Amino acid sequence: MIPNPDPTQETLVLNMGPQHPSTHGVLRIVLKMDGEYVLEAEPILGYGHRMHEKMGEVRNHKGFYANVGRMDYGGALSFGHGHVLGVERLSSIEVPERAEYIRVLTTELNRVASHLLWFGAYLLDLGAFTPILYAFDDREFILDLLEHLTGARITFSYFRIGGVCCDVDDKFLDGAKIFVKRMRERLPMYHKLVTGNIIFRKRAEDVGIVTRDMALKYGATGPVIRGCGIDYDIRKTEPYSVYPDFDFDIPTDDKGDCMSRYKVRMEEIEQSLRIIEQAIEKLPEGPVMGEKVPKKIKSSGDCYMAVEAARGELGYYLACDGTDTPYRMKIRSPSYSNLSLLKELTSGILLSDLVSVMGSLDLVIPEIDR
Amino acid sequence: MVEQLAQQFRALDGAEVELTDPKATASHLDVLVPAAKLRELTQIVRDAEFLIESVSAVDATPQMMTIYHFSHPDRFCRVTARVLIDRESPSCPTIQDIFPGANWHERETDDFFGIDFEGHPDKTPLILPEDAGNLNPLLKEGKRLKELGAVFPRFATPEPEAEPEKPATEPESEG
Repeated sequence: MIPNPDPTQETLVLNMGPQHPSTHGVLRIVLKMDGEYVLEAEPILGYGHRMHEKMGEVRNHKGFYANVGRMDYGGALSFGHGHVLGVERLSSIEVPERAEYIRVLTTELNRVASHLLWFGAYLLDLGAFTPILYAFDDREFILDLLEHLTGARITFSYFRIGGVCCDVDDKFLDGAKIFVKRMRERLPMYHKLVTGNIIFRKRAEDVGIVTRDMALKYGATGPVIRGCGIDYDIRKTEPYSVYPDFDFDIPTDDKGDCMSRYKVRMEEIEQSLRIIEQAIEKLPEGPVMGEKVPKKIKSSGDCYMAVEAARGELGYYLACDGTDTPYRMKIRSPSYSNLSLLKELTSGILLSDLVSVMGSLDLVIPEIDR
Repeated sequence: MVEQLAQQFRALDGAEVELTDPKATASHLDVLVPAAKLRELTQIVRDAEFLIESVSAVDATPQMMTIYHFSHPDRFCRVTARVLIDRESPSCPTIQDIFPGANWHERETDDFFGIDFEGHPDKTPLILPEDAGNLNPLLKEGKRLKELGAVFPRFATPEPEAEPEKPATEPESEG
């Protein structure tokens, strides 16, 4: 597993992580170095693996609610969304429209929070301390809103099969409106502070270029694939939930470098704000929980359910045998595939650029180590 | 596009191609392919510029199944490929040289199910510790192990009533 350095060549094996700050969790990368240049970067996974797939097989559909929030601490609601939609697809359960709107509204708020977390952490990796303070200030606003609604700040288990567990109130909706307005005022400041900064540009431009072919063969999704010019977003490509009701764009960028991924994510914040705005405006009246949801949800057959999480395509593959417990649950998490291209992407680059590349991939380790 | 792919898949010896409703299963084509033809199928999918989504497996009796998902980046089109493999000595050809993204997925599936992906360059455990041995946490035993037909209706035996030991749906306790 650890590359064996040839003693005749001047290579150095360097262990990055599992407690390195720029790995954002317990990820270890074994680096084979030639001076400051990376010859080979081999990620080593599994330090925080909890086997959510096995847990999914030994507890019933409803028992899995608590697990969905513990895979992705950045955008936990997307993981809940994929799970409930998958079970609903297999069991043909109808969801009230209001519940779907609330799901989209909260998921998009969560996506903005996730991108703000990435923004702060990425810049912190590159040595800029100030942006994370601003980003966390805005993120705190979202977390307070979601805490008011769901009772949780990070590990949400708010979605239920057939709806959501509680209705939104005026305090939440007003807060969300205030947030959209506030965030629109803050975004230009973020761009002024960071986007044009010459030090940041030198660290991000032309670094870690992902090509279209590379994204396809590794299965990279989310801002990574959109950063190389492919408008692959499950919300548009394979519309689910009530996303077809909203008017929003899929931002892309052609270059495929760290800067492209940065630009795509920053633009996605604005697009999420548009969705939030429209969801509040169009929010239909009615119940938030389906009436005919059985106590024991028995399903059979198998299906795949893909949703667009903050970091890319999240897929649940469910195979059921007629009981209320999945026979097999496979979770295809976005960061897992996004990280798998690291070895090819970083061969021959500077160690400092490796930190920039990893930051731009927006890794969430508990989601890789499911 | 779906029709064209279906035609190419049908040309593979022993492949069973099913057109499925994407609204119900999220996939347009469901292909059961013999292990020997998996790499050819993968090459077709790669040439059509699909991206790899996942590789996983399901443990059942009498055979296990590996499942591959591919999706097209420009338009909604998903291909599900299935390979039935022997449960006693599970092995399946690797596709990691065609889709390098399958490398980790296959290693992970090897960890969890003990499936040998023939031709895979790195068979060390990815997720499990090196001393885990044959832990294979997702293999099923006893009454948890179901027949393939109970999970996937297309593999159900034609006369299920004739079998006295057909596993009944066991009651599960509320979690």
